Formats: sequence, C-alpha cells, structure tokens
Amino acid sequence: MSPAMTFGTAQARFLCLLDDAARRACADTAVGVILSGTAQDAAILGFVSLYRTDPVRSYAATNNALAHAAAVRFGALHQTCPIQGTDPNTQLATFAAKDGLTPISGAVAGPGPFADPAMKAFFAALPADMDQAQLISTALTPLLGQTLAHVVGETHSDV
Amino acid sequence: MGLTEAGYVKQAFDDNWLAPAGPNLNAFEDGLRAVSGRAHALAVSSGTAGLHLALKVLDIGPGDRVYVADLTFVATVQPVLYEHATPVLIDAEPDSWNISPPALARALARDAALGKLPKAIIVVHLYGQSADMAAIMALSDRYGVPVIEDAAESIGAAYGNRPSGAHGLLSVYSFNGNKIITTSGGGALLSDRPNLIERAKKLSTQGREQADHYQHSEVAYNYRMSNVLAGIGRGQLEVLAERVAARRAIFARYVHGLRDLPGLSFQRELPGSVGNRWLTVLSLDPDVVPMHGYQLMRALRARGIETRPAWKPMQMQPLLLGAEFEPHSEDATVGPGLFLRSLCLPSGSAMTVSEQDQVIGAIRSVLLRDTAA
Repeated sequence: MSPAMTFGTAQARFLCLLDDAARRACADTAVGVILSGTAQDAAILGFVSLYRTDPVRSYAATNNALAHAAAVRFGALHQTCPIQGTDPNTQLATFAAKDGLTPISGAVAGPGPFADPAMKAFFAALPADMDQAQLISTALTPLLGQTLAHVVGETHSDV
Repeated sequence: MGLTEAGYVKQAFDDNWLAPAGPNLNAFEDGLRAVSGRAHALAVSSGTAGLHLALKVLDIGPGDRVYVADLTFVATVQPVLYEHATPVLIDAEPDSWNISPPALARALARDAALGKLPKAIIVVHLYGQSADMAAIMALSDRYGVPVIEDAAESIGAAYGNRPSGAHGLLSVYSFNGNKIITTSGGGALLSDRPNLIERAKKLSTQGREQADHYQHSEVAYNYRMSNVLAGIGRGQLEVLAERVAARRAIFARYVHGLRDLPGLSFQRELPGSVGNRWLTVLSLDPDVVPMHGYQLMRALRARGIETRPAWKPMQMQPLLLGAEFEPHSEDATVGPGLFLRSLCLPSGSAMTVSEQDQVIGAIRSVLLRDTAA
C-alpha cells in the first residue's frame, strides 16, 4: 500500500510527470512553445529547455510581459505575434507551425504535457480538497520564481 | 597524480604484483582503516561495487524495502535495483541537501506500524557535506534498521568526532576519477564487523571457497581492486588532507568572490560537521536571478567553463518513475527544487587561484549583464 498523497508528495509527483512528459514531447520532435503568460506555459518552456542544447523557440502575443520574462529566463528565441480576436493560442500555434515546429503549451486541453494521459490521471486522483492551482504554483516556484509561478492558468479541476 | 603514486605503481610492476592481491592493496586498506577509523576495509573496483556488496552481506533481496536518499547520483540506487529490492526514496532537507530526518522519521513510523520496515537506510553525504548523522543514527537505533553510509563523495569529511566512512553498519568510499582522491576507478567497503567484510571479500572474488582447486558454490562477483590501482590509492591517501584543504579553500574563494551578487547561496555545512567540499554547488534564487541555472551553465560553456547541473533527484529519473517517495514535509518537497536551481562549479583540487578568478569573473559578468538587461 502506498502512503497517502500529501501535498508534498503531490508536488514531487507533479514535477516528475511534467518533466517526463516534456522530455517525451521534445525527444523526436522540434517544438515551439506557446506562451500565454501562465505558469504552466512557462514551465513547459522551462522543462523543454532542460533537454535542448539549442535555444527553444517560443511564441506569444505582443505586450505579454510574463511570456517575455519566461523567454528571457530560459534563453528562448522568442517571437511576438499580432493576435486578433479570440483564441490566441490557436493563432500562436499557427505561427509555430509556419516555422515547421510542433506547437505545445501548458493548456489543459493541449497540445502538450498537461494533456498527457498520465498527467490527467494524476490530477483526477488528487484528493478533492487539494487546491490544484496552489499545487502547480508552489511546485513550479523553484523553476520559475514566484512571479511567473503565481499566474496559474486553467487547471484540470476547472474543466 | 604525483611521484609518490608512480612509485607505488612501479613497485607493483617491479615486484610483478599485478593481481587483486599484494602489498599495495594491503597497505591501501590499512590506510583506509586509518582514515575512516573503521576496524576493517575492503578495496573494490568501484563505489557501486562496494554498495552492492553492502546489500549482499545484509542479505537484501527481491521485495525487501531499502530507504535511499533521493538527491544523489544514480549509483546509490542501482545496486538496490540489481537485487530486485524496492527503493523507497527519501527527500532532501534544505540545509545540507542530504536525507531529511523528518521524512525518514515519518516513513519509519508508518512502515513500522504496517510491519514493513526497510532492511537498510542508505545515507549519502552529498558533494562531501555531512548528513545529519545524529538524527539519522537515532532513528536507525530506534527502529533497528541498519545504516549503509554512501561516503562516495565525502572521504576526508567529518561529523562530530567521526570521520565520514565511520557511520552506521557499513560505509562505502569511491575512488572514481572525478573524486577528491582517486585510483582512476575504485571503491572500498568498510565496517567494524569482521564477518561482514570477510563475507564481502569472498563475494568480491567470485565466491571462491577454501581449497587448493577452484571451488565455487554461489553467485558472486569480480569486484576486487588490483594491486596496481591500490598503489595509486596509497599515494593519494597521503595527499588527502591537502586535497580537502584545497577544496575548502576553493569553496571559500567562490563564496567571497560572489558574496555581493544577490540571489546566490551555497550548500550549508551542518553544525559540528566539516565537509570536504568535493564540489562547490551554487544555488540561484529564482525570485532574484532572472536567468535559469541552465542558461548560466550554457553561457559559461560558451566561455570555455564547464559547470554541471546538480544531481537530478532519483524520483525524477525515468528509471524510477513512480517509485515510493517521502517528501521532506507533508506540505513541501525539497529535492526537485534544489535540482532546478543549482549548479556545480569547477572545483578541482589543482585549480589555481587565477583559473578560479576567471570562473568567478565569468559568473559575475553573465549574471550582472543579465540582471542589467
């Protein structure tokens, strides 16, 4: 019998899954990371950057300061893109695709590690009273710093 | 390497003692006993081999639980996997970065209640800095679980009045080429229990039994150190104290040279302990330093300076994905954060002040430029 899932255990498990999913996502594919300014997007850029010796390409809407800070933090080749109307992630993914890259992001719906089946199963198995946004934020702080880690986007409990 | 080492190696050639037996091996083991304060020492082919033998002499096998420090090099846990035992990974604590006594206490209490205590606890002294051995040994005694001390990185260090290598039931040194002293490749198993070292010696020499002919009745290993490599080790032991002094001086110069840069810190030395500072490890506060450690690493590489990320925790390795893990506290894990924000700096004993000044200057240049940008 495994011990109960404490908040500390959940943090560690979340980081393991995210690291592993990011590793697999960029193992055989050139990826472009979509940055909307959330901690999850920044974390994808961060973990992908751990596995790549060349700079990772990132894409964000113009004037997105958090996305810019994430790109600076991980030395990304960052491209700001004009976005019109709704659904910016889809538009940014188009820019990545034009560069011949597979777009990934930290969105729950994907494409990317947060849509990984193992990640979905992990969040589904968390105790109902465990705050998923707080879990993500605290786990990602050593990677991102509090400013970037604080802005948590949609979580699995929101959908 | 110096003339002393070359002399002992030449002696082995001159005397034709090239086998895993001979005067150098005996003298090297005598030296290891002196350094560790242990009654018995066995020189083997690697630290990993030493750990493997430690598990074997404790009869650890399939299904047995073994607690292992999570923040370590993979060699600490590989022998557990060789034996198909079950590693239970224990998180680091934030000061020394070594195995967390609160996590260890929680895991032992829970497993004792469930009747599934581990057969051993493998403690590591990370980067040559001692773990909290007083707390760990108290838990070991309370629950009757032996400690195997992985002192691969910490020869020459001390906790209280005990040298690293003298804690717990069995201890292991490594003399791999990157260590503070080396035999190019090698290790040692140490204990105060003669029966354990005798058993390990047999297992390290293919399990040969007493007879004029070659008699074998069990699976065993070819783990014994050669008399040639032990000659290197003999010479290296003679310079251990100055190597430790050199590494500690390197650490002090890094601390001094980077003291005014905000957001930087170093692995701490627990009160009452003296580390060997095998590697100086720099930690970057992500709230203060806008650049991730890997970016600093890559910027330094472009200037010809080789740094490395800190050990990646075992729980984050694909090899051990899903392994049971006990965090430092119920509210927070520590080891992954240390990995994600730390960098090992060049720390070789032979590094000159001028070479180190170049490293310090490069770190300052990269971080100050980045901060200014």
